[in-house]
Amino acid sequence: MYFNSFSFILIFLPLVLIIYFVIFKNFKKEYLKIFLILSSLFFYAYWKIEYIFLILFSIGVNYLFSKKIKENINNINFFFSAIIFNICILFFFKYVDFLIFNLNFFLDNNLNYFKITLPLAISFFTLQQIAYIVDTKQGINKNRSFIDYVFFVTFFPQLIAGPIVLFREVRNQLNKNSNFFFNYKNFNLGVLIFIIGLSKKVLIADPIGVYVDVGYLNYLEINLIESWILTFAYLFQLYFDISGYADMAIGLALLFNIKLPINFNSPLKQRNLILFWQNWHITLTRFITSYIYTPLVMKINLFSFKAAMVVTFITMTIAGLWHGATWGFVIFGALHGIGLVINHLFNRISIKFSYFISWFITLNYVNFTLIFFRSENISQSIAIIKSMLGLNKIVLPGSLETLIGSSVNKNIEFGTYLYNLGTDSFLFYYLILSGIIIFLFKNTNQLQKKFNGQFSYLIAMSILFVLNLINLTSSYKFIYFQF
Amino acid sequence: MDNSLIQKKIEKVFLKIIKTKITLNSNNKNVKKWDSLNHIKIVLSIEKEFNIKFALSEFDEINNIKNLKKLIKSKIN
Repeated sequence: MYFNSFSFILIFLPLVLIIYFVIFKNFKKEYLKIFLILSSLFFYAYWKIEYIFLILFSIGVNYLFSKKIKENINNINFFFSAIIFNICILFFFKYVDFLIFNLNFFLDNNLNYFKITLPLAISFFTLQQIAYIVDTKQGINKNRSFIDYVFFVTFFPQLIAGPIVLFREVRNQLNKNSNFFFNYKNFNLGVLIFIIGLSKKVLIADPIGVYVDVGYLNYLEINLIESWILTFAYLFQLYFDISGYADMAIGLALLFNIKLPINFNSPLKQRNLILFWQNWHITLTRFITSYIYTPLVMKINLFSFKAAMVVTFITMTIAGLWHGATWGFVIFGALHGIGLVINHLFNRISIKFSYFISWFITLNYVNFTLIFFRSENISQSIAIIKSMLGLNKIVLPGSLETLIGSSVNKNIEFGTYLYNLGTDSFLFYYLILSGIIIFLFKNTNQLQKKFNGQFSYLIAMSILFVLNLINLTSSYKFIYFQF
Repeated sequence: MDNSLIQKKIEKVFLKIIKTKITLNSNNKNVKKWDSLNHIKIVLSIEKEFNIKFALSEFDEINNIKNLKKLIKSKIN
């Protein structure tokens, strides 16, 4: 089930809320937790019922391992088995065909593909459980119950695409009795954040996405202006899509009085790549820093700048691969690794640009890396980069012909310059509008701090909600669902 | 261990590792040299200084002096 569907917004969510807060009002909190777990499993199974067994299997095995780890804290075998178990599950369902592709391609084999449908949420629930296992090994997560553990993994707001939550963040909230009663303030705030997130998705990301899809289909045809607009359109689409999803998750959890960690904090306003990653998919950055970067640096035990930079590069490449099983994602990660290394070098030798210049470079660098993120294959990425460098075609708006004259350069044509994106200048103005929202407006975290039930907010939210419902189509999946 | 002694020991570690005088309001955003590599060095040095151990997931929580002090207190008592 998707958050941006009628069945979720108009049936599933209201039903769960009414049963939870009204019908089961006087139930013990353990029963309420079980009810939310069952609702979450239904939410998951609605997409593909078979994979419900996979997630339950993963939860069961991890819980048993964590129990063993706790009982035998000095025995590292259980710990390593648990980590290998999680990596194997992820590898089999996500990367096995990528491995076969490479074996076939580089070694001239002819192996058959498994053609496995990627189980929804697998990348996210695997990371959460790896973090849980590591924390358990290190003596955190002392108090826990099986119900709390299942709740932590399956809680539907965060199940599919994060935020990547730590067990103790959820457990502490589950122990508070008052969190099981309807809380007017949290509910209002939750609705506000959910509607902001839904609007980002339905009113901005999806309409832009239509043209991005067309542009990427016509990647061999696109001209200079089209290629720049296309890549920035995708940057904006991706940002609104995944930060919108995160907002919706945070808002929904708040309806049940659970506070999830924030996941985006105006990343595109940041002046360098280090700050970008501290504000983009924050809980993923936290995971890779805590559970990949730090242990690697400690393992190498050199603590030199050089060693740390090598580890930074490796960590980011792994993070790239985590997003998906293609070379494009690996390159995306590696480019961010290189970018971060350069950023650290600049800091070390105190090279400093003005805010505008460093912001501009960062934004364009991120935009460049996302070409590999979005492309179906490397040759598509290269074709788009060529167009951006003006090596394909240069078509300027027809209105400029009289101004510049057609004689300037034979390679320059005049005419309908957004033809290959399937649009006239609509997309162009739409992007300017989205840019204003990204760069000049307050972000969701800042907006909610100002919210105190003001009438103006309520009116704005009602209008947005109606607009969302009118434009709601479940045909657009969230980009992060493929990860 | 009393509060001011904890503060003094923390200050000593920061002076040693990043040669910066920190206050109670310092955090990894307003202290320039407090980057991801130095962070690990600082945390490991704090571990030695107080003879305690931090879990990996606690590294991330130590992003300001107030949190660091809180965590140290919870571990030495």
